[in-house]
Amino acid sequence: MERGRVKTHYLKPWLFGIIAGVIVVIPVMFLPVKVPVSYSFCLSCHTHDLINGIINWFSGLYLPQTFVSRKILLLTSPAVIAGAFTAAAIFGERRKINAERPVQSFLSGSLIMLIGIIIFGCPTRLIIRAGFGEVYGIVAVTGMVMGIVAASYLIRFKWIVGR
Amino acid sequence: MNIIATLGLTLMSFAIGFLAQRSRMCFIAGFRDFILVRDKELLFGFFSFLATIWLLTSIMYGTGLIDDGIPQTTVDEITSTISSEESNRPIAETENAEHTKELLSYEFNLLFTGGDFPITSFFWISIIGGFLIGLVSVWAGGCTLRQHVLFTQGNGDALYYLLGFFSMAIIYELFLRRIINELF
Repeated sequence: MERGRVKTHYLKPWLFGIIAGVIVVIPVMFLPVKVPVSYSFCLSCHTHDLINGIINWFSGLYLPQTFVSRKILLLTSPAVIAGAFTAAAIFGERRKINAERPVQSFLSGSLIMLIGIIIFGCPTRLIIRAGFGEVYGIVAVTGMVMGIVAASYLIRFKWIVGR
Repeated sequence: MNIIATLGLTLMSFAIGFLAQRSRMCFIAGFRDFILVRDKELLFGFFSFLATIWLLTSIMYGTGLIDDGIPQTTVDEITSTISSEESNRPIAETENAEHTKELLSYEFNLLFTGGDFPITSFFWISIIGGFLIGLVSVWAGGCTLRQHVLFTQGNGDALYYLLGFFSMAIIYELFLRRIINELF
C-alpha cells in the first residue's frame, strides 16, 4: 500500500515508544495528588472523569470522580484529538473516508469504554500500569495479549471480519 | 483547580497525539500484524513503551524521585484528605472505595523486594476484561489511541467509535453503575 512509499517520513514506532514512555512517566512526579497510581495518561478513565465533572458542575449531582480530577481538569482526550489533528493538517494526511461499519464501530467503542471503566484503563493505560509494576496491570495486559491473539486467529480463519 | 498541572497534562497529551499520528502507533495492532502478516514494526513500539516505563519507574523508585516510593495509598488517606480539604462535599468516593482499596492495597515493588500476588475477584475481572479489550479492539481495528488519530484523519468508522465511546461514559453513570456494583 502507500505505507511503504512514504515510510521514511514516519516516526519509527520503537522511537515513539521511548519518547511516549518518558513523557508519560515524568508528570507522575509533579501531580499534586497521587491517589490513582500511574494516572498520567488514560483515554477512558480521563474521559469518564471529565464527563462526570462536567455533569457535576452543571447539575449539582455527586457522581464519583477520582481525586485527581477534582484538582486538575483532565483534558486528555480533546488534547490527543487536537495534537493528532495538528499533525494530520500539517503533513496533509486528512482525507474523508466514509464509514463502512458504523454499528460495529459504535458497539465496540461503547464496549471498550464500559470495560475500561471497570478494569481502570484503556489499552494504553493497562500497559502503563504494567510498567509501573502493578500486579493487576500485568494481569490485564496478559489477558489483553491473549485476547489479541485469539481475535487474530479468528480473523485468520475468517470467523470474524477485522479491518 | 491547579492550572499549571492542567496545562502540563494537556500539553503532554497533545504531544502524544502528535507523535502517535506521525508514527501510526497502535498498541493492539502490534501482535495482530505479527500474527497475520509477520510485521514486527509495531510490536517493537509496544515493547519499547513498556520497557521504557519499567526502566524509568525502577530508577525513580530506587532513587526516590517519586517521593512516595512504591505507590501505596490506603483508603484512609483518601478519605482524610477529602474531609479536610473539601469538607463541604460529601464523599462521593465511598462507592468506589472498596474497589479502590482492593486495587491499591496490593501494589508491589518493581524491584521485587516485597508484595504478594493475591487471587481476588479483581484478578478474574482484570484478566477477563483484558481479554475482552483485546478481542473487541481487534474487532474494531485499533486501540483507543489509534481510533482518536484515525478520527482526526477523517475516518468515518472512527467517528462512530468515538460516539459510542463518549456516550457509554454517560450511560454507565446513569444506568449501569448500580447494576455492576451489585454484581461484584
